Amino acid sequence: MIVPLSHLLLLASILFALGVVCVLSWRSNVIMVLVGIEIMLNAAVLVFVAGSYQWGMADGQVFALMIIAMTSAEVSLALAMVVYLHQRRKTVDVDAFRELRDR
Amino acid sequence: MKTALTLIVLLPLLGAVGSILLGRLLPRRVVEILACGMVWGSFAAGLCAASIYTGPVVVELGSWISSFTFTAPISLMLDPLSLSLILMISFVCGLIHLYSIGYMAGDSDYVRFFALLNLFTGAMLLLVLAENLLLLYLGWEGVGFCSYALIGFWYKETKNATAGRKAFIVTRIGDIGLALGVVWMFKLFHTFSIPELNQAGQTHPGVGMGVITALGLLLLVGAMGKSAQAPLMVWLPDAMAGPTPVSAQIHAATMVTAGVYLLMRMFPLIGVSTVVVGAIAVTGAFTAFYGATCALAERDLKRILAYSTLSQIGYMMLAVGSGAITAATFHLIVHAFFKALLFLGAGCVINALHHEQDIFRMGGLRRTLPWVFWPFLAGALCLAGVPPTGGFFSKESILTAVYMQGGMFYGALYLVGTFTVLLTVIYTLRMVFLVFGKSRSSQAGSPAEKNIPVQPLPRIMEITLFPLALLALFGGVAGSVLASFLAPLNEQAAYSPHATEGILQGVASLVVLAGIVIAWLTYGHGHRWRERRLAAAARPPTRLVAFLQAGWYFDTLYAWLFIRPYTRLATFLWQRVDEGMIDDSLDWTAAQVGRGGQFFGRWGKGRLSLYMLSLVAGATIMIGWFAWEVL
Repeated sequence: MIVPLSHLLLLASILFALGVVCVLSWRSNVIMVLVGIEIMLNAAVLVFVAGSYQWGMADGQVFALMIIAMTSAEVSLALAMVVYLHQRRKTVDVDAFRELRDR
Repeated sequence: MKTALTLIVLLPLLGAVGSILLGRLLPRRVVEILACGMVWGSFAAGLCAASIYTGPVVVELGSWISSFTFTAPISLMLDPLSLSLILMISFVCGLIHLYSIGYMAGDSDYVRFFALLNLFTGAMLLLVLAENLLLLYLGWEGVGFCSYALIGFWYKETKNATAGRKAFIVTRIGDIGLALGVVWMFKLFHTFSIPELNQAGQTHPGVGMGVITALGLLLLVGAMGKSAQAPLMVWLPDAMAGPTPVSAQIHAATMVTAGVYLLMRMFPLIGVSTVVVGAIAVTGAFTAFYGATCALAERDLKRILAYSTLSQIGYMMLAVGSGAITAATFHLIVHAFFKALLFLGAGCVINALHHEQDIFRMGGLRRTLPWVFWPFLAGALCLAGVPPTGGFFSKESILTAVYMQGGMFYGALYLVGTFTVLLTVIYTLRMVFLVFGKSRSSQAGSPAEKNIPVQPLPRIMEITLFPLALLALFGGVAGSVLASFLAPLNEQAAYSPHATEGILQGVASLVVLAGIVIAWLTYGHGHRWRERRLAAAARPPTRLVAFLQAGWYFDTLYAWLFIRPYTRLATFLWQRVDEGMIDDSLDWTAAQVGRGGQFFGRWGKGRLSLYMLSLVAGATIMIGWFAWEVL
């Protein structure tokens, strides 16, 4: 193994943290929130693949493929919703959508 | 005997229950007949009991309270004292019931009235016949409740309801004394039975003179409340707010004599203490004097009679305080007759004059109401103690008993009593002259001047006055019969030789005569002094008159001494402690919790970015904590 597992985990953590920061800080654009989520998912995929490689088991790779498939579905659905929201409100600001509050 | 005694008590109570339950369903006439019939039935039963009476008898009807040593059976006792009283009570109450038919003719609430009146009578009969103190206390409280309900009978006017409450609360203060006395006696003697208590007395182990004195004073407090003696007399003049038959019943037969009766009943026990006896005598003499002076200045016809009741009950207490139980009973009975008569007569007058009660606005009723005038005059003469009416003999026997006790103390009381006789004559005749004497044109606004015709009275109201008038006038004859009948009660009264008695009677007659002369000169018609009095009555009262009219400002004094501090304390507890501390602290806590909820509620305002931040923060904390635990 050229790259040690700890390095992979570190990279995945950094990626995940970047995704979190992206989600939390870039509120003015829903698309950027989705991008943040994608980054976090990819960090997770990386951890799966690294684990699979480390212990020589295929399960992690299967999970990685599953996540990729799910992500593509999710993104297509989410982007469609973003388009719809933008049509209604002419904005993609996260805080503009408050209809879900309790009253 | 058992049946008769049961019927005496039970009939009026049954009448009350019947009226309450069925009164609304029955026609008016039936309710009236039922109420009167029950009381007269009770009187008939009393007569039966009297006819077969041979000696004191105790009848046990059943057990009432019985747990371990604490027993109080429902047992009635008939002895000379209770026998003479129940006959008087049922007779006078019967007449008052008859009178009420006429008096309440226009009132739609007659069912409540007659039910309460019956209950009143029944409670008093129970009180008088009770063999043990607990049963007596039941009657005592029953009487108190009925007086409260009847004084405030026309409760829709605040004044009447307040008068009822005042009567209840003031007598309640006395009741505390009686209740403490009864309980303490049970603790000492382990019995409620009156004869046993009276026999036990000082010889009982662990009972000294001090204890007897304390018991006697407690009972005296109870009697003060019920019999409206100083210092608890303030409720009686205000009790005039009730319908006039109720006033008659309270004053004559049922309510106020209960206290005197209690003291007479327990006299063998408490009479051995000179302190108690002296306290009773002083209370009586002071109240007699107080009532007479207040009646001198009072203008309201019924309140004059109320003050005269205070005064006469004071005489009875004075007699008890001199150990003259016979004289007290004699005066009690004669007083019942003439006071019922006076009140019923006053009710006639007030009704006839369209509810005018100020005697200075009356006058000339001798011509217009002759059927009321003559009985009323008889009652008034009896109250004034003019010989040879019953009132003269009964009052005279009291004064003789006081005189015969001898010594400075009783000598002073005798002088007070005799002076009060003079005052009594004056205020009584003042009332008669002003109400029935020739009316003056100077009396502005009097019904006579305005030529309002007197309202015709129901015949039954006038008829009932006559038996009472006869009894009041000739009650003196009964005195000697009663004296021999009640002789066993009278161990402590001093023996009076006939010569002394004659002299004392002469003195009393002279005093009465002087009173008549003074009253005639001052208020007798055709005299120039009368004009002056009437003119003075129209002006604002002088300070002395105002002092007397306000009942020596006792009400103000009590308001200042007790009611105001109490109200202050209650207001403080209400506004500062209850509302200020308890309520406010709870309110503050609730407000803080609410504000906290508002604060946290801002999280849920729908800001998605905040939700996400919270989600991440929560996840971070959880994961961090797991990590902390694991590593």
